[in-house]
Amino acid sequence: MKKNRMFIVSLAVMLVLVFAASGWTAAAPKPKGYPERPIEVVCQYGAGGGSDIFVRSLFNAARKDIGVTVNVTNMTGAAGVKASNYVLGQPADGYTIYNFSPEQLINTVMGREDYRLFTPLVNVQQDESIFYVRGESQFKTIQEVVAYAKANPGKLQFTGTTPQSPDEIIIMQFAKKAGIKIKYIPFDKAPESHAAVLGGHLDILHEEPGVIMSLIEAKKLRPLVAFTEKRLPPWPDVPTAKEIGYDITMGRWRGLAMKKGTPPEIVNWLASVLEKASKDPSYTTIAKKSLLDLRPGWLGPAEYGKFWESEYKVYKEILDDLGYTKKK
Amino acid sequence: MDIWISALQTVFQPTMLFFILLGVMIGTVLGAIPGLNSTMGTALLIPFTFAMEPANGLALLAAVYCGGTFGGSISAILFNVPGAPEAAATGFDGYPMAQKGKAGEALGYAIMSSVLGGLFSVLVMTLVSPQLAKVGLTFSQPEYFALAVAALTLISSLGGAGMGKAFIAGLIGLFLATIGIDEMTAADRFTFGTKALMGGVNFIPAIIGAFAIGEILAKAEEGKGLSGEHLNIKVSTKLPKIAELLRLKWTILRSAVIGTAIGILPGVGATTAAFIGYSETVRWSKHPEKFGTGVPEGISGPETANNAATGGAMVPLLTLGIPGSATTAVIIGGFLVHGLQPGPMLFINQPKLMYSIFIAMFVANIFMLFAGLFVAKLFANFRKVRYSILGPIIFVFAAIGSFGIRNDMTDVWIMFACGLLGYFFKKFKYPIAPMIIGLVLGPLTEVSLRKGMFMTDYAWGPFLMRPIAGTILVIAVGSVLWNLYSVFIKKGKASLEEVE
Amino acid sequence: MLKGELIFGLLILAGSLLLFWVTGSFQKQTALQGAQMGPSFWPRFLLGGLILLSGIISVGVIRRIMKEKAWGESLMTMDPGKVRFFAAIGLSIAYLVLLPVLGFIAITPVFMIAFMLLLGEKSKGWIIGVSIAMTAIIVVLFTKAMYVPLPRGVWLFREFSLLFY
Repeated sequence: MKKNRMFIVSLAVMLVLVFAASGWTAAAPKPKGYPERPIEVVCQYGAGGGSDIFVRSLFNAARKDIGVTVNVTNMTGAAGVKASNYVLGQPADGYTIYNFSPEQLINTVMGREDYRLFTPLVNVQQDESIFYVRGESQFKTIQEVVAYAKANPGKLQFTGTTPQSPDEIIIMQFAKKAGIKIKYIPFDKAPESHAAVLGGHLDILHEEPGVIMSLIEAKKLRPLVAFTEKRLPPWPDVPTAKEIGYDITMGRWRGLAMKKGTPPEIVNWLASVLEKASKDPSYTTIAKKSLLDLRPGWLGPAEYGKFWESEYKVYKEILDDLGYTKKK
Repeated sequence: MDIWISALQTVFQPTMLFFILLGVMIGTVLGAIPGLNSTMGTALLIPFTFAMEPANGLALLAAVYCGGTFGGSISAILFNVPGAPEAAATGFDGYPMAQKGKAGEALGYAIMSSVLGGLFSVLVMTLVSPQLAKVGLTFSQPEYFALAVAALTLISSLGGAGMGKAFIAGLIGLFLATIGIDEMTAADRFTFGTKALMGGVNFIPAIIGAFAIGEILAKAEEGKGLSGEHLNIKVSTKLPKIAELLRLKWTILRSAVIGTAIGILPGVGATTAAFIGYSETVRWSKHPEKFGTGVPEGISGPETANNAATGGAMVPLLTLGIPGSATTAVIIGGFLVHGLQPGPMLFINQPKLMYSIFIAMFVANIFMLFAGLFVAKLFANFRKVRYSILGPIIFVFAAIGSFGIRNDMTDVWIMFACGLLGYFFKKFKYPIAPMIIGLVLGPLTEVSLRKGMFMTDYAWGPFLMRPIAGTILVIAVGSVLWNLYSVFIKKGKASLEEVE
Repeated sequence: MLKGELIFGLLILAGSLLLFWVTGSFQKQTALQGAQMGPSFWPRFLLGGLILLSGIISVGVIRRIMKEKAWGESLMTMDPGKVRFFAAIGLSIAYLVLLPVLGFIAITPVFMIAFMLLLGEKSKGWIIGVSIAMTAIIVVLFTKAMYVPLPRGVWLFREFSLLFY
């Protein structure tokens, strides 16, 4: 127990240092006459998913500082295009906030929407990508998986959430670097992919650890490789992809955006309010449980915008490379 | 045993019982109003449960879920506007029965079946949860495909219209389900370059339109029955007598088992359960041609199954952390705010909480008997209103009910387009039910087929030669062939279009 | 009625043929896999079935028309029922078009009053009372109790809606 507490304390210290270092410190002044009525937060994923839990828990913590009601609206479908269109259809007055995710950049690459129509607010989380097998699986290490895939090309079946998602990209990138041929079978709802792997119908699951923590603790799912910079504290035996020679560090990030043209003083004030909320215990307890505190995710509006640019280039390159984009 | 006693003590406290009753009432009302549903209700209640004891909060959420699954059938029976997706099949026979002036009996059958189905599944869940979860996991894509096909074969036995027309209606429904972004490849299908159709055709607006708007248009044209007729109708909810219930014993038992089993499967939920429940009731009935005209079995079959699925869906949720439906996905949030995560560890670390939830759900289903009667009575008053006033009210609710699902005008237009389609279907004697069945089961059928075939490298052998999938498919296809045989050969009718 | 039935059957046939043709333009499978059952496989299967069945049905109707030599009444005559039917459709379309422009709270009472008059309701008290009461109930229930946003409209109407929700 004591060791555990030490760990938390040191983590907290680390977090504070990280936030301090990120250069976002001075609280922005409250804009005049804002907010004066309820704010709507649009989430393009279904209730109960990782992103939904993220916005709800963050704005639960931010509510008292924002001072007005915040309503979360779930608007699923069409890989987020629908929700994006809805947000862009609202006036840029600061009363509509959007849960912005990597899909928006991928959709831009695929020509379905344009991320440049949004103005960045903040990035809050940087999640971890991990590959898992079920407890009874024959694979003990990721090397065994690669060896098996080399011996049986096209046999191994990977699963993750939705086609052309960050999940698919990371799996395909891994396959390419490892020189193996595999199948990717996506599910629109994440829990179905968990069930397929647990039932032994598919071999390898890509997922962020938060939503399946209980299954990992019960040893029903075993992590094989993490796409992080360092090994993850709960599983010191699980290697990172970098260690075994595949230089991929990736993971879904979760942040917020607004329609382009929203007054900067509103953006800056919301950013400072949200930064405070992201340190509030009612948010951090949930984040810590989902291992969301391990990688520094916080980015202020300006950094987040630059981050979009660089991520867009990364996705474009990978998607071109994997042959998803139309050859002109 | 001790754990059971202390769990019972947790549940049978005034505050807990109050929260369960409150939850059932909220759920039933939300379910009965088109555009509002128990998924929204649970999502809104989660912040409040944060301040409660975990057991109380979770019991409240579970009770909302139980009530909401039943509530939709009230508006489906009374106005042909299913208030919740789970009730879509209940209207097939519930509304015709209400049209005959027996709305009270129809509601009674719905309430009684819901309660029995719910109790059955909670009992099963309590006794053998972990084992069942394992069985649920053995289902893969071929099994889902077989289940979907089995339910779709119902189309061949839906009486009342020519079989050819029933198949056309079914195919149109299946086709409508393909519109939008393809789940497997993310390719745009039939969107004609518009962003509006990318999200696909949601089946709730389509059902509301096909049934309710089609009827409003038909009534406007007829001009009859617009005034006065309903004024003297007395709608009093009547629970079925014991003898009437006994007649339904096999229907209820069959649907309770089907509903529980389908609820356990991670890939499908209460809506599918209701349709398969209806389908199997028709299949094993001695008079399949009477379905759709208002027979008690047609209400009991789907209504037992969808409430049985609520208990079933809690099995993968509590034992594996895998939600079997939209509402259970939200309930996960209710666990998380208390720092609990549903999954195998919860059973080991918090057994008392688990058993308290089981007992609370059992109590919730008993309370549903009273809550159902009360809310049904409340809504039944609307039927006394004459149609020239009720019609516009239904239209506005249909529009807002469609809008509320995804806050999108596209859904409202889809609702209206399906209303026109429903009107012409009615006029030219195409049955509407097969279209709804096709639309609801379309995505499951297509995706499980393509995904399953992809997994077996496009070899039909490994896809079909599986014990569970194979058995279900053989029964399903066999019953269609039997139907065709009895219609064409036995009755000596020659051509498809003349079978009336 | 037979004529109408034939037209409906032929419309389904024509629509299915058209949509079958559309499936050819589906984005070709760009990923490495899933080629054998691509995005057009299942819709083509369904549309093929529709083409076949609607063809059979249409032929059947034509045969019946030939046999009975009865075309049914002309589709062009307008009786009061048809007038009410088309008025109802026009009114509904107008309502749905104006909903996002004028907002729910501004347009709904007007629509309900018009629709009730169309259906032949006479009592002024009922018409006005119900249309205003239902709008109010829905606004309170959806936006205040359940946080479901209703259409607010644009420009001045948006400002008007914002007074309430």
